[in-house]
Amino acid sequence: MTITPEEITKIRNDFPILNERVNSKPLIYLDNAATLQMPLPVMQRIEKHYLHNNANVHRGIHTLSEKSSYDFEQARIRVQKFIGAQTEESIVFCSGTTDAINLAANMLDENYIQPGDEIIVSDLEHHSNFVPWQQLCKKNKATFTVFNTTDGRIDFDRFKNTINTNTKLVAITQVSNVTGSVIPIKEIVRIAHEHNIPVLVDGAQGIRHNLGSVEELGCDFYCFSGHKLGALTGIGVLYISPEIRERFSHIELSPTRFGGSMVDAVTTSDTTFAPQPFCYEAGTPHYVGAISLAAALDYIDSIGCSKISTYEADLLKKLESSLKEIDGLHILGNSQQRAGCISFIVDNVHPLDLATILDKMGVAVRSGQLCAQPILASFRTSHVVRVSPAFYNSKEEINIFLKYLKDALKLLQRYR
Amino acid sequence: MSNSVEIKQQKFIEDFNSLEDALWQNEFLLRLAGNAQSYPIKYKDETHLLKGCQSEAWICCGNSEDYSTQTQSDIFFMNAESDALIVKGMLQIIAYLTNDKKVQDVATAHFTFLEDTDLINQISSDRFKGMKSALRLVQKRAAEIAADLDNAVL
Repeated sequence: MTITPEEITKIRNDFPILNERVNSKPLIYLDNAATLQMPLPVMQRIEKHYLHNNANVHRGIHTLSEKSSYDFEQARIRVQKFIGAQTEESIVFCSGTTDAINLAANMLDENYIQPGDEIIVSDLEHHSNFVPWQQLCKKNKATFTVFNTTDGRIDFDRFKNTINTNTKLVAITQVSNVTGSVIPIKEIVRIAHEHNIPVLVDGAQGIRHNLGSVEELGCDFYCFSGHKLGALTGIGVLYISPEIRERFSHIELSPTRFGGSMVDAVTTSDTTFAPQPFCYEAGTPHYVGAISLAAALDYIDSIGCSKISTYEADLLKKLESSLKEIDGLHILGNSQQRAGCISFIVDNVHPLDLATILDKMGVAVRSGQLCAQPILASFRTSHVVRVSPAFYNSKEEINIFLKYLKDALKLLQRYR
Repeated sequence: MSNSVEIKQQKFIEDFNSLEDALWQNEFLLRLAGNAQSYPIKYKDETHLLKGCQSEAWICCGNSEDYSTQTQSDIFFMNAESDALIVKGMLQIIAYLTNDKKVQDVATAHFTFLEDTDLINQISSDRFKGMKSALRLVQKRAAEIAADLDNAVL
């Protein structure tokens, strides 16, 4: 089942920003891999919170504090259900994917990653799932191994040969923010677990694309950001598998941020900590962010994850087949399955020029290094243009984009 | 206003602003880039690289037509190159305003074309900073040449 044209019209009414004009032209927003626009129901939920329920959470017995705390914890349960986690305690709120990964890296720091150990990442990683591990290895005198993909695809024989007795963690993206490649996480996890190695999955791009529950994936950590689902920025989730301590008895995952909310008893001599997830959530949490995230998940579920992913896959297929017909245009990666985005370069056209001209035509696409310098280097380019449609983009918008793209290329090539 | 650079700049601001459409304005920049004098390969090096630019850009300037400072001339010459055409076009505005002008006028001109045209709304803050950096570099170079010429006279 997919989203029908009538449903698209109705959905678009939930996103007033899509009616904006940019440089006097109707906006065609195709930068959804950077952030998804916020639907009205989420905005209304935030407004309702501030109009009627706002108070700090877990800090008072007065009515507003109770209401706010209840909504915050309900948001945790909502997230648990959306990602198919066993328990709500697995859901740790933080400020985004980058924060979630850094939090996990800090938890694994001194207790787990020792000199001589190894962390493996792929060359497809966003800097958020690359730099924290690189710096952790540098600090702890461990080995940071970058496992090369081929055209955005995993070579499993090469992956198996890369793993060795020193490998202590595999950190991998679920969907590349450059090529849109969908990584077979289940297989990665199966191989890693055979060698007693935990797996952290960067779900920033994958979370919206109906790619399986965290139970099905079997990963030990899963990280994502709320704003990529239409929630506020500044809210994200670190999922920690309830089986991690059982599966890897040598992992401790001690708290790394200290202060209010995460404690049980504090004396002048020592402190004991609250149970998970609270022990990892020091300070006032972004409770409005969490509430907005729950509302965003409700919205997505009201349309249907499966319908959304079918529709978006169709848009991406249409884009890909049309882009392939343009002379001199090279799509990055040759993945069997793409989700969310597609990036390309064009001979003799700088991506920044192309994105600038498209902007003047009202089209919002991303250009630049996409916070993914390693994979761009492997494709021998320093900048790309990335197009990332979402479920509120119509097929007509894709057609208009393709026409504008050709016009922009003609204009730029005239002056080369 | 007697600064020859500022006089030319005022005309440029009027002409550019008459192109009301953002796309036409960018096409103007592309045309500037396409019609620019070819940039000498020898100045496409680290010394002439404009730092802080998202795309690569280079600037060369001097008081002779080959952009060196070999002569006693007080006439300024400037050229710029970038792998991004729109950046090249924007830098070529500076070349358009300053080429064949007195070094003293270049050194002391008050450049306002970024703020007084729609360019300020169209370019990112990074590019704006990059352009300001380019202007500072050009004016610094012009001031150095002017000072050298004054010292030579003395």
